[in-house]
Amino acid sequence: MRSSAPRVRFFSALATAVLLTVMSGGTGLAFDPETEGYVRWEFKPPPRHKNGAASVSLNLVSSDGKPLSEASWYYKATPLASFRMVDDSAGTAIVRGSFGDGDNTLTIDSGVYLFVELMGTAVLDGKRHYAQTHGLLFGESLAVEPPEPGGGPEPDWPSFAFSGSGEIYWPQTGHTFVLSPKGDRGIGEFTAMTPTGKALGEYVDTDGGRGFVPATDKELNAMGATASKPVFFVAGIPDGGSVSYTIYVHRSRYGGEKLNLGFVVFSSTFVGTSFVLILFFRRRRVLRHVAQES
Amino acid sequence: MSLKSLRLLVQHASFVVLIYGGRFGVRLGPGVPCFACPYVNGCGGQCYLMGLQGYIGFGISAADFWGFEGARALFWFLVFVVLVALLGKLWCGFVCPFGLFQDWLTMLRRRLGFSGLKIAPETMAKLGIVKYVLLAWLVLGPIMINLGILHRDFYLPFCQMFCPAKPILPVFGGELRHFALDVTNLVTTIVTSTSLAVTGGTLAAMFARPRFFCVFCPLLAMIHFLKPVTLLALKKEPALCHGCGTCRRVCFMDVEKVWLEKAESDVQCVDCVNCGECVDSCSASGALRLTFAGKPLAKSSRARSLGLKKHRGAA
Repeated sequence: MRSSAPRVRFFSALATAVLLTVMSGGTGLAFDPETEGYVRWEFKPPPRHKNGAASVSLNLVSSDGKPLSEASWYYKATPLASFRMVDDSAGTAIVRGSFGDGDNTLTIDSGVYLFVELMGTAVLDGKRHYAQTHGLLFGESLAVEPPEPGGGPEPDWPSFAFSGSGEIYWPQTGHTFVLSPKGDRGIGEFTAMTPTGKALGEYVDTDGGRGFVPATDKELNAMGATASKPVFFVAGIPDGGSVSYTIYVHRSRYGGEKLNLGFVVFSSTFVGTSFVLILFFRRRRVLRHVAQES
Repeated sequence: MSLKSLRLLVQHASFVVLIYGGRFGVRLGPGVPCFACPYVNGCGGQCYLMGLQGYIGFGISAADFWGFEGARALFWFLVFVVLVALLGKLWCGFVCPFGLFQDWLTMLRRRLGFSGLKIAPETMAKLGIVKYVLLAWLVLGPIMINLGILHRDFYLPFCQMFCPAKPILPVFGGELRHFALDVTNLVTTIVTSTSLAVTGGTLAAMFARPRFFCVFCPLLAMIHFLKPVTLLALKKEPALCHGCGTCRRVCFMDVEKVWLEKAESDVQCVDCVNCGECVDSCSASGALRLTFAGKPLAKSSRARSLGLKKHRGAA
């Protein structure tokens, strides 16, 4: 009589493999940013300048508050001719550096309009993690020299290509943010996080890759158009670390606009005022008629 | 060419430049002393009132004022002053795109055969106070936002709540979005419903009365504050005036000062938009003059008034 144990072992192993594959999004990487620490950029209030220069201050931190080691960074700075147009006359600059012990704060100043793509890396719990973000600086000052073009080749770190369905300088709830892994580095599927847990929203598949649409946030809606909240897109990488991408989303600028309701308010006051004016004209005509009769 | 014809020509050319100019590379900046609405996609210039409330004026915090931001605010204020000093209220009568829009409504009403609404001088004086209230609101509103007294969604408090040009002029750029009620929160709902109610009511009143909104325009008040440095002026020679009252009858702003003034030569008052209708219509030669730095640009004459009457008769 043949034992059924090998068959059971084979199917249980297959089921486990399928389950792991499903859990890791098909890449074989299971990274849960809710339970595992990752490294991310957090924006700090920037210093204000009286000379027209613009600044951005960022902290490279771990999500679980544990200390980081061997932290370094580089950024790619592209001068802009306007809000959207790259200044072709000025070349892209790569600026790099590393953090000392303790404070992992980086401040970038600019006297020109500058698009900055920033990468950071650090070791957390013995594993190397990467963090990414971007920002726009609208500096208008001669006091800060524009970045020197060049700076060598861009380091080949695991990273995402980022795109949004709206204006890149004003990410909003309701926009679709697409992050596709650059190169073939085995980056897993991302999970959208907030400082306190998973971000509310919807994952969508787009032509450009996996996307995320942050849900409407009542607190943001109440705070004013300039208020924003961070969203961190986090994915695992093959050696057990992670790569994250930080954006700050504002409330939806047009999401609350109701055109039909607006037309109702507009039309009703238009009709109401017209009615009052017609009554006024009629009364005046009657009075004039009475005056002529008498 | 009568001033009326010249005015129509300049008004339409200015409308094209200020509403569509940005599409052809025209960038006049935020110092334009008329309702060149920045909410229009591809506009060629920006109304100074918007900048004054926002990034080049009272929207700047006190801490930032003593530096680059303050210098920029001062620069655009000087641009505004120079533009007003050069053209004065011609900005209102000859250039303002919203003024032209109101003139179109008046033309339409006349074509349809409806009679217009005249405002009595005492009512006009009372209504005129509103423009100073709106001016105070657009100055104090941004300061209150900076101090945290007002919610940030009141940003640009005059444009967002009381300016009827904000929903109307973007329509010429192909955008209806500013007619939407923004229900994002209570403040945006209050702000946008006020704006739409004001726009609806003003549109009906602008149809009934020529240049109705100009009675309440805070920019008109600001330009009038700069009267001492303005080179353009409306002058009267009281000795030559017949006292016929034609100037009073043709004035769509219902200004009485030009007619009633018997001693002073300066008849430029706050509600006058320098349209030149009175100069065109006056039959007393030399009684009314539109002057630039004391030199006459146009003056009333019997021939001019007759030519105008002939022209009107032919029409």
